[in-house]
Amino acid sequence: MNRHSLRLPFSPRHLVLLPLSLVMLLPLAWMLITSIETLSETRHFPPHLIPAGIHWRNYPDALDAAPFGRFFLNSTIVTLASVAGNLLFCSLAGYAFARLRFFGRDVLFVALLATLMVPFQVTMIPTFLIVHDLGLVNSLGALILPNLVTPFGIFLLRQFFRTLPIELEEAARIDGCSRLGVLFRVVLPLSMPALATLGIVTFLWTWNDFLWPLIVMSSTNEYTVQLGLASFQGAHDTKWPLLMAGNMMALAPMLIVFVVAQRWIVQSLAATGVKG
Amino acid sequence: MIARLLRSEHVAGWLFVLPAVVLIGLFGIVPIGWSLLLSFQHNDLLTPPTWAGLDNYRLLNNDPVFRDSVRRTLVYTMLFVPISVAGSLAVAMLLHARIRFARFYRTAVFVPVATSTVATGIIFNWLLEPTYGVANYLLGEVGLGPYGFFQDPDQALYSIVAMTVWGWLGFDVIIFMAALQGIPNDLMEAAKLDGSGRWATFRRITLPLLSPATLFLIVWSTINALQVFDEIYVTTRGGPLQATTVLVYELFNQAFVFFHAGYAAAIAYVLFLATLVLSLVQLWIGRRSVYYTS
Amino acid sequence: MAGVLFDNLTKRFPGGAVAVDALTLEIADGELMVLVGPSGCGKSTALRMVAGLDDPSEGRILIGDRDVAGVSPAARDVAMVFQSYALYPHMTVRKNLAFPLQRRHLPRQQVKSRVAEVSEMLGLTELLDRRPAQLSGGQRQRVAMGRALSREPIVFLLDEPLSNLDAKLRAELRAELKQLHARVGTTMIYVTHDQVEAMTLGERIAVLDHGRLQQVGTPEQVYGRPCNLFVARFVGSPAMNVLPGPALGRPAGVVVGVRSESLKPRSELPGGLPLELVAEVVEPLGSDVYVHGQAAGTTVVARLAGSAQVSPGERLELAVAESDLHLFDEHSGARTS
Repeated sequence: MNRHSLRLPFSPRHLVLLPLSLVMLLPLAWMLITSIETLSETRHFPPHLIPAGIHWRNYPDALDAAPFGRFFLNSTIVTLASVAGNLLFCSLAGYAFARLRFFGRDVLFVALLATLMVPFQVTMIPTFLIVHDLGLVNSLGALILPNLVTPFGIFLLRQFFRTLPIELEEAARIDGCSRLGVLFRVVLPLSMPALATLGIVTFLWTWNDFLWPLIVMSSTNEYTVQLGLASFQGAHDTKWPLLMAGNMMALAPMLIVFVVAQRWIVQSLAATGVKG
Repeated sequence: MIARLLRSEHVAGWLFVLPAVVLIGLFGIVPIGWSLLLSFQHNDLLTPPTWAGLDNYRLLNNDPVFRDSVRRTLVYTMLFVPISVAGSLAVAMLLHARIRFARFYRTAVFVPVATSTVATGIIFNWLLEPTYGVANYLLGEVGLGPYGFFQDPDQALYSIVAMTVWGWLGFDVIIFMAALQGIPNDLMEAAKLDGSGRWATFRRITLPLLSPATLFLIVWSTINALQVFDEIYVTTRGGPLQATTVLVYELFNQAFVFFHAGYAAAIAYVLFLATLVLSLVQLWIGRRSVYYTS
Repeated sequence: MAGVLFDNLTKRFPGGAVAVDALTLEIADGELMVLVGPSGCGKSTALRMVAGLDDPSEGRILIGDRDVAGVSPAARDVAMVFQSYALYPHMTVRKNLAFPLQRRHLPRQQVKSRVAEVSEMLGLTELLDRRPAQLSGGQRQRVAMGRALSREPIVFLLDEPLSNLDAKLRAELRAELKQLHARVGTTMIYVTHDQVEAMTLGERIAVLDHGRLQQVGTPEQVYGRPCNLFVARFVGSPAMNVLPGPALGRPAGVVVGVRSESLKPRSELPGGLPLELVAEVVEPLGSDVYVHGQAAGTTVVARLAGSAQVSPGERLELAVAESDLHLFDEHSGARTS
């Protein structure tokens, strides 16, 4: 069973992986190249694969054309608040479901989990009405409040907490720790991997959220990065270099975070899949 | 007595879950019920609503616009799910080896996941621009095209498929790679000694052991495909000529452009039920063919 | 059935580690050979090279009379039992046993009857429809053996198959393995770090250290005439006592090995070389008494009759027969007599 078939000096996997990688990277590379070209260059067919020069002006022009700084600020506030809220409230609830015995616990848990089954599109209209009644339309609160805690996070942390040895918590209680104290002093420090996963997934999801901000925000000043980017496209439809520069600026932070923290992010995303 | 009650586990438990219960109750559970109520109303979000009974649902049943959006959604889903799941499995198998540049390949495959749906749409708008876009240029170099992509009613939906597969493949690959790493190397060696060739090992050992991950990705991808919206909003806006008006896009239009909130809620509930049924069917099929080994 | 020849086999790993160093060893057709040595001595690596899971850096391996360089594992017709058993978790016992036969495209009837035969031989018939997760350690071990057996290979390779089991089960399965070998007669290469296992199982044992063959021979030969200090101390429990030459009338530069059972009370051995032992710890085991203490400046263990009465701190007058001495060069460790 050992025929000497075509022997390449390298693994045949490269023959597929290399073109595939180029295809995956091409759109991003092309965005970068376009962002440093002039408008007339882009209105040229066939396109220049290598730009004539580096036209940096597109970037400050994009910043002038739309308040990207403001967009970033809004997104940052909303994302940090969501991450903090989730870490706190999902820990509290997850711990209660994992370790405390209280009336109606299991029914409540199933009910919360069941809401995961319902797509956002079902709840978005009434949620809009509720936010409207609370007077929060077009404010960052509208983006933060509905996403301060998710059943997914509660489930994730509950499952994780249950894998910790309960003796540690019992010992802490005997040593005089309150239940809250046990959670914050004993359980959470041991739960860093799960908290990191929840934090990263919440971060990614909140930063990239589009539909809900689209529904609930109406003035440019309150736009998140995603919303700002979409409206920017609407305003400067065919000014490709400008658009690509804006896109680059909006994407760059996320791309950098991704490449730097790749291992963490991959682990977190993988963990969500394994837990189903 | 009160003090003892306050210190009881019941009270503690409820205090711990209170923030979550209030928030999820207000923004999750109440809207679910309210949405159902809305679907039985004529509601334009401005004037007081009137009772509609089952009118919205009856309308749905006869509305060709709705039916078309369902058809398009199904076409999209039936292309997106097999392509991304099978494709990502193949990529994960290729990456699951000690080869040079493995880290580069992995990063290249993962990076598109970092791009938001909006950014992806903007990039592809430019990439697939029929006159000046580089896609038509490169295809022309190998004798293909030029194509209309997003501007051609017959190609728009397929272009959306390609774009979203690009954006999500990396996530599936991550899941599959994690699952592959969970298969002990011993098993592969034992299979080698047992005379199992590459294909037989893949079919009879790797694939069954990957089945939990595969099922998860099929269900997950299906749910996401049925709800696709962002990328379409940023690129084709449901066009050209409604060619990419999928279900959620229609829903969005009905609710926030035409202000037929009741009708939109009915659409949403139909989506919900369809997603639920489809997921249950997939999970039920999975029960018979998925091997859980722990 | 075939013998196995290691011919000057060397395996170097990237990074410089030499796992197997110029190993030359001949295993006869139908023999049960045990490769034994401490962790990292290269025994598992050698085994994997016979299986074809790793390739040698130098030297060759012959199975039967055939140089198997470049031959795939499947084509070598060898079977292996892994330390972790490597049972396919998603398949029933029946399917696990049938898998290698199906890979060889044997007709269905033959597969069925062979599976029945093997499961009967190993007492697995009631377990055929269970999954590995539902089996105990010993049962999984038997399934792993069964899967290897079902193929009727020309060589059996076993990589520490019993090390994950408790002591009692290990002893049981050891005996079963020996019986199995007697019944089936196939060449077996067994790898273990446990010298007791090696001594009880092997028809011959090969002692390895740091990738090099130290000694090969029957258990009696290896125990009775260890060819160097390493083998002398590795084989036998408790380990051989090693005393400086002058303590027993030998020149400096020579160390003397004395087995614990060779130390007897002076009264019983009037012509023997005298040795005084100051007892520290006394372990009565019923049949024997192990006395740990100091003699000639080192820690020594003596095995005395079960009836001996010894208390800690006691000075024992012991002696050892000249013929029971093993002499080694102090520096090279090689046997001088």
